[in-house]
Amino acid sequence: MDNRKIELIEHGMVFDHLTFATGGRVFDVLSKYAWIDGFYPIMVGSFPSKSKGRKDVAKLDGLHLAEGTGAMNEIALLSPEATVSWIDHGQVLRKKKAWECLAPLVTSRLIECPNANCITHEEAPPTFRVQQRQPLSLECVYCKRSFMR
Amino acid sequence: MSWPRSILSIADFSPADVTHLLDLARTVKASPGAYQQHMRNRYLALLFFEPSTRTYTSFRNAMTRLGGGVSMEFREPKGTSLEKRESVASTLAMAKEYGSDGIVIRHPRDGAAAYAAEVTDLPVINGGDGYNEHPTQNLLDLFTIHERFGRLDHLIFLFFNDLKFGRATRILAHLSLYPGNRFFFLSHPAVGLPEQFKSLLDARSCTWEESFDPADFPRFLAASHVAYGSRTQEERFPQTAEGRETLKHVRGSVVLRASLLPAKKDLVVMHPLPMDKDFPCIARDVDSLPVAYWNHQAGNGIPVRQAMLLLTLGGAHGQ
Repeated sequence: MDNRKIELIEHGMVFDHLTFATGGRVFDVLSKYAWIDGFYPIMVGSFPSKSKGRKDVAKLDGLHLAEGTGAMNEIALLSPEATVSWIDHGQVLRKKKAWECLAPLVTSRLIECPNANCITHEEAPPTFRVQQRQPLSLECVYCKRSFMR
Repeated sequence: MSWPRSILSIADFSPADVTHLLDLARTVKASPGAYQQHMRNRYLALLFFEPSTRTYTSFRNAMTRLGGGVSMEFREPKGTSLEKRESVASTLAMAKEYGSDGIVIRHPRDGAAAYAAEVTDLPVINGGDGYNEHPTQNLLDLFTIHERFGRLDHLIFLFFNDLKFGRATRILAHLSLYPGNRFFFLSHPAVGLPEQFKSLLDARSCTWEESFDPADFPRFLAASHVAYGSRTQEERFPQTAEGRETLKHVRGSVVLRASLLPAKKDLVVMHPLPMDKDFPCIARDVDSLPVAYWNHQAGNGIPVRQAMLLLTLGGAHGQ
């Protein structure tokens, strides 16, 4: 997916400044959620970045995701500093950092509690409370271990 | 007052909650006969996914002495369906189907009790979850301290030996809420007090001093009301050559001996049992002295757990 051009979209979402090499996982997340109500094209590319050397970009064509819901939470966990834009009629409706779109409590198997003895490694669904948004700091709701993303 | 629905962490309890519990435990201890029927037709599930002699037997005693029954119990996974990989959630569902009014769970994983409280609508009492919490131990310790000194404030505590892995130091989350309490910490540097506790004490403007030099024992003991030792939790050291080497240096590095004790009466020495018979952090010559409080402390486990059951399962005010 290196250096491919990503087409402009009329209505949808753009996830810019994704951490390099997370684009594939963002694609998986978007696929999981965006196919629930039908098929919406997803494009992912990798580009040079002035600040970080490389970045990934993803676009979702035809669908707006709500903040604090499944896909948005998971993208924020994968790349909290990404920029999320909602596009309508080819214009940016609004723009936010991914960490701003994160629900206060998130359940996701995309990340693991760093405590190897935590019950989430055996049975409980990994669930985290957002302690601080920037830089992103999470707390496991079961073992109470805090960690930075 | 509203008592917490489940007992998961000592940090969930306010001083008012603890006062309520200690008052009831004191009454139960003084008049056990008056509470013999308070749990009649009520049933407790004792789900011990790892063994614990005292926690198990004291909860069982507490429930039966209140006239209640045990609906489901296992003392360890061996010989149960847990060996067939039955889940915690499924075990809890069965406990409910068997008519349990509450659950006591002990589990080797951190956070297992919080998870249990999430998947069942029954009250859950944490009988120890991994390296994480052991709130019923903390509460019986608070009872023992209050019983001896008549207060939980304006006391001086010395915590010694394994302060890193021992769960008893979680009691700091509560003791630091009271005015005038001061704390000494004495340990080998490899098992010093974790930073999170130091931050907590600082945030609550508590006075504390840490030492890694056993020569400070007499000075600390002379000033303290409570000297609280914790067994070196050797099972929690990394199973590496470096971990084993560190353990060799830690074991026996901090030992309270009778010769170190000051000539004063307002001191008790506490220790959550079991004590390591090969490498005790309290020498045997302290066993027979009036300051030796650990057996009395463990004995308080029954009235304090009776009070917990009365408050958590209901029945504190009689049938």
